[in-house]
Formats: sequence, structure tokens, C-alpha cells
Amino acid sequence: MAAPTSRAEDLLAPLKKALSRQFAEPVTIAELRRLTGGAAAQTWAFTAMTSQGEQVLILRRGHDASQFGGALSKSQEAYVLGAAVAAGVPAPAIILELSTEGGLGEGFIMGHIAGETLPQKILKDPRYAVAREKMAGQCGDILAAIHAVPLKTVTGLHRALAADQIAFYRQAYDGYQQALPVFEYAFRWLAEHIPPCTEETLVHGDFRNGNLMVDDDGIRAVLDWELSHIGDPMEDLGWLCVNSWRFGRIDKPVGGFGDRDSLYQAYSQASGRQVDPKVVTFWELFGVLKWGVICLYQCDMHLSGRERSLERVAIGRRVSECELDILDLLRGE
Amino acid sequence: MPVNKPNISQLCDALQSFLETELAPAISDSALKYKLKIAGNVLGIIARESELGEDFKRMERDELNTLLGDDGSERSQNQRLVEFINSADIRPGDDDILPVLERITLAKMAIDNPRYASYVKHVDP
Repeated sequence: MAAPTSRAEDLLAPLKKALSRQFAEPVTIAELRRLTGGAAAQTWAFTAMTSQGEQVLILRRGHDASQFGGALSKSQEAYVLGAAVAAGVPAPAIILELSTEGGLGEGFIMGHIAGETLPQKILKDPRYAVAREKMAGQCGDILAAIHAVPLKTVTGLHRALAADQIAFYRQAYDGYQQALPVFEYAFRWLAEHIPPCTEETLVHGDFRNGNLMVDDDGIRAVLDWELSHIGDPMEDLGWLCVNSWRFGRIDKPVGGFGDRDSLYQAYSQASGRQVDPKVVTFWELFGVLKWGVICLYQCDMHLSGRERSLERVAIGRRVSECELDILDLLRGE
Repeated sequence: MPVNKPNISQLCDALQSFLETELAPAISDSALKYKLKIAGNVLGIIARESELGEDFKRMERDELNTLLGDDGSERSQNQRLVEFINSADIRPGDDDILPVLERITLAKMAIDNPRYASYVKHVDP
């Protein structure tokens, strides 16, 4: 498949056509603008005008190669997102799945939910002071809802338990030809401490500060479902607590905004599952190592010449942050 | 006959000032501003490594000599450390390897990112 175009003027006509067919009336598109994304995966916002009025919509298209951890295709992501919304998880509703013949490539159009996703703003802006107080508990409620999505509504989604994921990231790590003693220690420790997975559920896979749409009252929606899979629900709780996603607020282990008790209590109450802090720590340590391997990958993208970028190469020197976080977790801090 | 002044850290300092005080105000594009910030961070790493790099190498060599001894082999100390970690002899939790790894990691962080909150907590509790 050819790389999708990244010019707004090339998207307008096929977008208009796809939406006009969907709404069975002529649709006008305005204010089409790129929000995020690399060369391949893109997120766009635009206003669609129909006889019913205006609405802001989001277009997600392409496939992000930087999500190398078994990322879903856009059509799979739309499928999981649809199942999650149907089960009552706060997330954007799918308006339309794009067919590859439509000139837009693989992707989908979803509703727009207003709010803030930038972690630094969410953690600093006085506007979100009330939201910050509630968010750890809300994370517990929302994760319980995600983990309650009926598995029969997400059939075909791949299964990735702890051992599978450790092996996957070990293989990736080995490919970068950089022997990191702390990572070696962590790989060994994880392999020797895999907790039994008591129940397999839908796992979001990237549930963290940065993928949460927040307004004055707290979390409005969970975004970025492309790393979802079937696995151990505790993986999501551990990843949410990874130090890198606290953005400097290290005394607030849950995303930089909350404490573990609020998360665990809300989750237990909503899900009926007991939270074993040791199991969450296992997944948190795994999460730090996973983020570390992603940093190695990013750096390697530049060094190998596949995608030269200052941002990617500089991230190589963030690997030591992961090493320190691994050692702190091993020491039980 | 050494290289002439300025040294690496002085050069980085001058470049940093240029980026911050002259270039940054002239840029309105937010993506470019972000990249400029990364460039500043990279300059910081270069300056700190030029000042601390030799000391770091020495302390790493001394730490690993104490831990691993000298087996006369030509394998790098790092490679021997990795083999040691993966050998059946150590049991996670009851070995003396973690404090060594921590001291070396902290010394690396003094170069890579001394503003990292967990690092600050270690060195300035």
C-alpha cells in the first residue's frame, strides 16, 4: 500500500464523498486540520455540515509503524472501539469505517469529544484541579468497564499474556545490539516472577495519562485503542502507574494525578476483582521495560537511517531513566 | 599542545544561548519550537558528558572490577556483567549486584538527565 497522502486538499473530496454516502445527503467539510501523527498514522479534525447542523468529527487513518508492539490495523481498532462503546466504556463513537477503495486508505471516522489530553496541562492547570482529585477513582471504574467488555464482541483479537509479551520485547531488545545489564536483570526477574493470570479480559494496552480526554469533571473518554489485546487485566493497572506517565509528579503514582488506593479500591468495587499490589508491580516493571525497549526502537529508527529524526535519536538517552525506574521498583520503592 | 579555547562545554553554552535567546523568539511554529527544545536538551547532554564522561568511565570500570574481578579474558566488562546477571549463580533479591547497578545508573543519569524527578530524589532526598 502506498503511503497515504498528508495534504488536506487531497483528503477533502474523498472525505466528502464517504460522508455524503453515509448520511445519505450532501455533506460539506470545513476546517480540516491535522492534529497528530507521524508520516504514516494520522489524526485529523474537521467540521461536517449536514441539513441537521454542524458536528466536529475525527478522522484516523494509516498505520503507525512506531507502534511496533503488535499494533492493530485501523479497521481492527474501530472494531474494538465499537465493542467498548457498546459495553458502556467512555470512548468516541465510530461514525464510519473507511473502505480502502474510498481514496482515504484504511481508517475510520469517529465522534469528537472535547477536552484536554496533554499530560502536562492536565497535571498543572488549575482548571483541572477538581478533575485531578477524581481521576484515579475514575480510572478504576473505567478499567473495570473495559475489562468487562464481553469477549465474544471482540473475537479475533490476539491474545498476549505476560510470557508472550516478555518474549516479544526480549526479541526486539536483542535486535538493537546494545547490551544493557539493567534490562537483562529485569528480563530475568520478570520471567521468574510471572504471576498467574486469573482471568483473561480485553486489555486496552495503552491506558495512561496522555491517552485520556479530560475536562473540568475528569475523564471524558479513553483514546488510542491500537495496542488492545486479550490478556491479564492487571497489565492496564501497572502501565497506568509507570513513572514515565507521571510526568515528573512521582509522588502521585497513578498517572501523576492520584494514589494507588483510590485506583485499586474503585477498580475492586466496580469489577469485583481483588487487586494484588504485587501483581500490579510486576506489570509496572514490565511496563517500564517495555517503554525502555520502545525508546531503543525509536533511537534505532534514526541510527539505522530508516527515519532520521532529532526527536527519535535523543530518546536513546532516556533509556537510563527506565534503568533507574527498574532499579527503584526492584528495590521496592 | 591542547585544542584551543573554547572547550566543548563552553561551545555548548554559547550555542544554547543562541538557540534560546535569538532563535526561539523568532519561531512561531509549535512543532519547531518543540524540536528546538529537544536540541537544547541534546546540547545539555553533550556538555555534561564532556565534563563528566571520563569520571563516569573510571567509576564504572572500578565498580565492575570490584564486582567481577579480572578473568583475563578480552570480553568487555559490560558483556561479562550481562553474563553474570544471566548466570544461575545469582538469585534476584539476595545478591549484591543491585547497588552496583544503581550507582552506575545514577552516574549515567547525571549526564543524561539530572532533572529527572526520580534521580533528584536519589541525590537530594
